Amino acid sequence: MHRAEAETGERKGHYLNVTAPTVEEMYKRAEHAKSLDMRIIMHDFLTAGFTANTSLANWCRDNGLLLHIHRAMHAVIDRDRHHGIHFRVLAKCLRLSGGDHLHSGTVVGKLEGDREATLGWIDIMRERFVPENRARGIFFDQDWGTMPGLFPVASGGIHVWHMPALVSIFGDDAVMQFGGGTLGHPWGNAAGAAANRVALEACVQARNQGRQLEAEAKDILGAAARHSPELAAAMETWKEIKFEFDTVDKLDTIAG
Amino acid sequence: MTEIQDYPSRVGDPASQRFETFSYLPPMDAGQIRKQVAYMVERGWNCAIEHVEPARAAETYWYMWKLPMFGERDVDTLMNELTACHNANAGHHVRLVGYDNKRQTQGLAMAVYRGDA
Repeated sequence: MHRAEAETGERKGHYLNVTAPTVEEMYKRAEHAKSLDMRIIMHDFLTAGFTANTSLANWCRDNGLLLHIHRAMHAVIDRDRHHGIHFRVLAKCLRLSGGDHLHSGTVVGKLEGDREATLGWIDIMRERFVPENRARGIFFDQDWGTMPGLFPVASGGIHVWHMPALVSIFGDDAVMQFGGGTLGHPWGNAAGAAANRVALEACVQARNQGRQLEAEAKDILGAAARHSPELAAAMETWKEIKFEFDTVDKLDTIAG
Repeated sequence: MTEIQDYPSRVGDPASQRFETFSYLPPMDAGQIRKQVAYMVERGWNCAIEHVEPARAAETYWYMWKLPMFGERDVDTLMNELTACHNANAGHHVRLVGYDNKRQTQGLAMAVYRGDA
């Protein structure tokens, strides 16, 4: 990581996972990450619990590290239509508790979600004022005042072909996390990361020029790939990888 | 499948240095830069120009060119200031910052000229 920073002059990070059976052990792991001069750590907020999450978020603020938060176990809590806690509420609790990044689902990819519902809880994570919008599952105005926000994290089965949709859905203040979509590049991880970065920047450039990202996806990525052999190879690798199934997590949009 | 290619990024190679947004794309031409400047203006952001010697590029504070151009909405004026900064600071990196005063953060920052390392 330090070499990558020296090489590029950019800030780079690797999420060191401090998830552990006890809070004391999480602190030990967090201290270790800090001793290695790391910039960011991660844990699971549902398995750790809200209290532990708040403590770890505060520790991160005090120690100058960022906290990336996974939501393992969320699906057994938020997918039952008659019982449990909807994800928009879990996201809200997490924002109140603290942290920097939270996985949100992507709309596209393998961990998809309903587009309108996802846009609703992305707003809950990062906007200062969220107006009532029942189509997005927001039942009343929510004024967050000066409460800090979280970055939503798009992750799960996403690859370069999803980039136009991701930039369109998530906008600027978000984390695009390509795991298999990086490591699966036929030329290795560095080439995979470069391909994703070129695709992201090409989409941001096109959006700022007023182009329609999702309608013009193929043109935008194709033009960028002419300057990036890494992107061209990634587009060839993932061209037939699709996840086509219905959303499991649907909103009850009409209140009785 | 295509032949595996090496990724030629090296600590000692100045060409491996990046500058955040748009630095993995080829340099933009004047028309493309203009569109990004127009985007910043349309969003109501305030532009500022910064520059630095390539050897100091990784440091947080670059030199400020004149003062931030608060309220400047004319794209030509902003483009001309970029040129003026570049001409007055040969060999420096020059970047344009679009500051969002409502959200109190940079909306966009991009290196417009990359200096010789």
